[in-house]
Amino acid sequence: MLKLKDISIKLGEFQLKNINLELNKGDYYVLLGKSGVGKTVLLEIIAGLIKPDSGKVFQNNLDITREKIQKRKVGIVFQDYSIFPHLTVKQNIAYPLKRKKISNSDKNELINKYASLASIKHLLDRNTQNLSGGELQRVALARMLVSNPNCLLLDEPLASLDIQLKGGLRNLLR
Amino acid sequence: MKNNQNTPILFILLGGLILLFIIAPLASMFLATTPNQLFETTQDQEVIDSIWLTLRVSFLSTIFFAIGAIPLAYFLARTKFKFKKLVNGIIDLPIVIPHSAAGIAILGFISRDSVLGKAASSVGLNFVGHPVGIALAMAFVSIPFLINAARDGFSNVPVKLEKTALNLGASPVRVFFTISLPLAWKNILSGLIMMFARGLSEFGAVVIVAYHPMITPILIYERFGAFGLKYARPVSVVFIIVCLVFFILLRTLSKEKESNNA
Repeated sequence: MLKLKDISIKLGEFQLKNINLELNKGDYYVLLGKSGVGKTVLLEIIAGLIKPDSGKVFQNNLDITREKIQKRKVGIVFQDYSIFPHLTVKQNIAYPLKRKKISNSDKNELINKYASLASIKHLLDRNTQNLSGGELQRVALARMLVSNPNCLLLDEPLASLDIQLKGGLRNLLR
Repeated sequence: MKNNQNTPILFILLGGLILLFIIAPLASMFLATTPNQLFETTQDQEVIDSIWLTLRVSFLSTIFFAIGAIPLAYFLARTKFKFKKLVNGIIDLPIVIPHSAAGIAILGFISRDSVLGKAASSVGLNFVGHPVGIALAMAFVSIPFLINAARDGFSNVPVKLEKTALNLGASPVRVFFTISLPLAWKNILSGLIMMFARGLSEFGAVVIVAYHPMITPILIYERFGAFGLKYARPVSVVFIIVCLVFFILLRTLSKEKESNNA
């Protein structure tokens, strides 16, 4: 369960005021709004990337407002993908698994599983610098899914995909 | 040569004069030194020892101080605080103060009367006239080059990449070593080479802290004072060749960085 209670933040001229939201396990929720209204800011507050001026974020009834980013188990895929440019596709996807206490073969199995789901298995050994926007987005998605978060936040998840891939990705997300 | 920017001919002529100003004294020194003199100098044990000492001390001081300078650069790139401009100014201070004055400051800091000097004396170490004193003097005047280059490198790493790594469960230390450091590495490497090269060429601060053991810039000065230009020149040429190797390395790395950013 994810709950936002009276979230407010002021960033220069921009302001979000008293945002309330409640989502139950398994819910899909779409934030709609004009460009610049604060959709990304709200996602970043939930993920812990920025702290609200006031209000609270609850996950499973626990107050996580001041919880560290790496402890939240809230995965976010940014609109600009934030792919690590110095790592290969495989290394990007493996990044969340580095410190996990599982065997290398299990790690490889997980990488292959999510790479297949995102239709990027053929790209695993490639550098990320020459990939298309859609490919980068799927790498970011596979990398986030492999970290097994409790909650997925997707910022413009279908923006760079063609119609065929959009359908595939919708199915993957379900 | 393509003059794509339509640079005025006058600019090219003036620029040529400046280049000549840099090249001419060096070229004349090289031309005035015979191959025989050069060969003899490379066989001179005092010269060999001083070059090795200079290389070794500058290298070790660069590595030792990098352990603190790189985290400081990261902190300056990532943290906003009240007196940040003042701290950045302090870091640049060794570049703008006279190096003989820097030497006096370091001497006061490490002499036997100082707290540090007393502490070192208690374990039988005297920094004055010791390679450690030389290393401190070299580091004092050259460390701004490393901190500034590393800070620029870290500033160029998008904060979002670090936050993404945190979001994927990495600790801040792991984020630093797997994301920030590799992405800023080219700048840091340039800074390390610059600090090392600047340490090699330091005279003013080192001569006050330690005349002996003699680093090459001091040896050149001593040969000039005792025997004249003819005897100082071949040592200078050999040492310039050594420095040029590192200069070319630095320029090559910078060029690589430029082409990657293009």
